[in-house]
Amino acid sequence: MSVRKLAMFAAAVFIAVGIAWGQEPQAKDPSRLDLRKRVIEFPVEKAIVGRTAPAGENAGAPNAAPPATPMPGATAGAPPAAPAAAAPPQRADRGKSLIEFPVKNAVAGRTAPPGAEPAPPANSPPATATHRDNPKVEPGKVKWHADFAAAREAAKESGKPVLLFHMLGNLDDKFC
Amino acid sequence: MLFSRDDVATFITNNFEPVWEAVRPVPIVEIDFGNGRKVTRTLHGNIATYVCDADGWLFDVLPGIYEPAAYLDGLNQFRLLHNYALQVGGHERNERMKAYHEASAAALAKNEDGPRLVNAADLSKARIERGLKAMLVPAGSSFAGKRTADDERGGAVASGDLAVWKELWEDTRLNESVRRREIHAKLAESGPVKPGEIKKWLYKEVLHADLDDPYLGLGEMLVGSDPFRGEPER
Repeated sequence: MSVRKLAMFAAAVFIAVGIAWGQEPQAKDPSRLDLRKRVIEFPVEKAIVGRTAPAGENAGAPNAAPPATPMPGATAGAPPAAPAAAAPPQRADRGKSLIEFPVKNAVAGRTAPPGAEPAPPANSPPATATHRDNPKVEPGKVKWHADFAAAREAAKESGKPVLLFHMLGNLDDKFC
Repeated sequence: MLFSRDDVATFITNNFEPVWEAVRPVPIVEIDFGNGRKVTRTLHGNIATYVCDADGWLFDVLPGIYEPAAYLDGLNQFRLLHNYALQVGGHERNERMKAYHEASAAALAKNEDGPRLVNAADLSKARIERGLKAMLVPAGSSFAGKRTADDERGGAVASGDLAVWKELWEDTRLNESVRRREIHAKLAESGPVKPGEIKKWLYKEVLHADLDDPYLGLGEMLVGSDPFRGEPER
């Protein structure tokens, strides 16, 4: 890389860092994309990427991290120029959300919100479904006739008595 | 569930033409603990098992839930009762059934066991068609035998949950004493009927679940003191 290119690169980084420090103090919702930073960085990124080697040429470099696995904290403030050089030419900065969402989801899945009830023991009765959720089940092991008339017809053939079972609800409902 | 047991299911399938009917939707009790957890249960016990002939005439009823061995014993009595009734026809059959119900109701009113049906084919060397010829014998007869439920009581306790079994056994005793006495008295008085003709009476007077009442007769107990009971339901 020539001295001139190096100077241009350093100047671009210096400008980007200065502007970013002056306009970034507000706390933001981490789940949102940081659009302002991207507006500033994108032209710089384009300038840098356009002047560095393609990703394939840097594949063996020690700091050539794959773009899909960014390091935590990599987007705090303006990034240093070196990682951008190792990134694919299409887009060096993948956005905070790509880093923060997986971490947020992983933490949320393992902790309870403040004031939440502790998890019940494994042998406590499960929270069962309501009557709106009453799935069909096998009505025992008996070979039932479809209705009383069918059972009577069968009884005429077999000579067996008819056994009629009356109940509230349906025998083939889970809750009966 | 009784019908999931191999012994009950096999006995029913081998000896009856079985069918089930819903008389109305089941009441469901849901307790919302307010923390996202709910427990849902149904009200059990309001079931009835009828035995009928091929023309739909009713012979007898087992009311409510039974302990499995007692239920099997009741089903075996039903099988024999059907055979006993069909040995004669017409008016004689009606008289035979009336005598059976009167004798049973009278015995239960005195806290005694009712007459038992036994298979005479087991007592005779003569070959009897289908191996079944039922006869009615007094409870104290040497042929009457012992109730299967009593014999298997110990096994049921050992294999199941004691508290649940005790409740089931209490239900069974109530069914076999008070409830069956009411049924025998009704059938002795009414003469030949079909299940649909006594269904509402059975549920209201014996099982205490009024099928014509949307609250099954529980409304006064559940909302009787509620100052908002006159307001439309939400």
